[in-house]
Amino acid sequence: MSAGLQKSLAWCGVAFVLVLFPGLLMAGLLPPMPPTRTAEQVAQFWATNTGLKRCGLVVMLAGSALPVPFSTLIAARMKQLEGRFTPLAYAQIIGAALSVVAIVLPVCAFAAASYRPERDPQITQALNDLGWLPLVMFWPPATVQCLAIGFAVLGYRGTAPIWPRWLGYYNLWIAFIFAAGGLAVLFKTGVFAWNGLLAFWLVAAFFGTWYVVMTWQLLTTISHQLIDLGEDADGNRPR
Amino acid sequence: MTARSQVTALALPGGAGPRTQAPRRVPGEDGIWVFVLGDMTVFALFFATFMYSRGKNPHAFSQDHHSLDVALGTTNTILLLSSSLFVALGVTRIRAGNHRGGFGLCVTALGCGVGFVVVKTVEWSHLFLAGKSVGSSEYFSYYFMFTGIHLAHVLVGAAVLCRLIWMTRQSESSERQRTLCETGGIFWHMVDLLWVVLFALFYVLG
Repeated sequence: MSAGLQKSLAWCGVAFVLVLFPGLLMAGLLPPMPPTRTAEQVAQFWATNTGLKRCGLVVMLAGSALPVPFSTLIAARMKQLEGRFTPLAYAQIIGAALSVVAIVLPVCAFAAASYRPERDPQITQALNDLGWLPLVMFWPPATVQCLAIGFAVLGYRGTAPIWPRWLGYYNLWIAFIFAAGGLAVLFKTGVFAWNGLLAFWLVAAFFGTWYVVMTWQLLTTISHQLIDLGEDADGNRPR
Repeated sequence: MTARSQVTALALPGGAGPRTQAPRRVPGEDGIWVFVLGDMTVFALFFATFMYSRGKNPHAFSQDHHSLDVALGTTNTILLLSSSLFVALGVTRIRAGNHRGGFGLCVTALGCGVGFVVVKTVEWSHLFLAGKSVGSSEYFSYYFMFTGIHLAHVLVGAAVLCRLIWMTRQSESSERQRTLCETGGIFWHMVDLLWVVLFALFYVLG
């Protein structure tokens, strides 16, 4: 595979962040609304600037699958670490694929909330809850993804590691951070509620930086693979 | 805190005593410090949010504080501090090649860790029976969330200790295994350190 194509796959990670967060801003989801808002206030929220909010949701949806090419490059690297038997690479891919649901499911619920501003506010509030709760609570696949990367890096026994071992520990730590939103359903106020410092802001900040760090680490591996396989920059093997 | 300084001195054989001539090195693997410092930063954020909320509502926090059983909290503090000491002694033995001695000490440390989980279960059961739960007040939201997240760390630490104990069954260990053993010890000390701060925040601050 050419180095240029590999770089494109790696940059999908940063691209995801650059699409997702502006999408959240456009949709009015950043900063998140407090869970204590009444049905009328929620309906009012979705009835104002509805066009811009819908466009924001479309942008979020458009970016939602960018982690797919990004995580397949991670998986290809993990296979180099694991050898011929590569369950962790598969766990990582499946974790990444399921994490896409954490964006798609809330976007669909928010889209439905914004779709009919004239309806009963109670229904809009229910759809709004159905958007916020999974957006903040959907942690297990992302945690599995990070744990798989962490264990693959730390489990490597060879002499030519493609990633530093700190990246393994970093992924284990991030796996733990991602779980912070998991109990959002228990709270309507405070730091663990869906708009809270720990359940939302902490996870959002580390979620964003994780993609940047992993993109950077993927970019550092590209020259390695060319050396390993004896390919030139266009992916051709010299005769 | 003499126990902790003792632990540190024992965990850093190159840093004290007659062997100060040895080249300075970071204990364990370099990478574990990314995890430890990252995790401690997040807990520091936890503690800061707790103190901020407590500052806004000191009376309610003080009232809820009295529902906690300080004796159980103190028991747990003693259990974790002792287990940290046993781990430090055990790691020193394993690094010196004395696996038999390391085995006993690590099993004792694991026993203290299990004791911590049992005491925590008893304490939580009492609180649940008394009608306290995650949603019952701001103080108890913090209490159950922070001690719950810490408990998850204790369980991970117990799994790491099991791995170390398993390693001591062999008569010889490689340099990689000895480093792994020290790395596991560092994680357990972190779990202990975080509990000491949680203990101070929830049980001691009136």
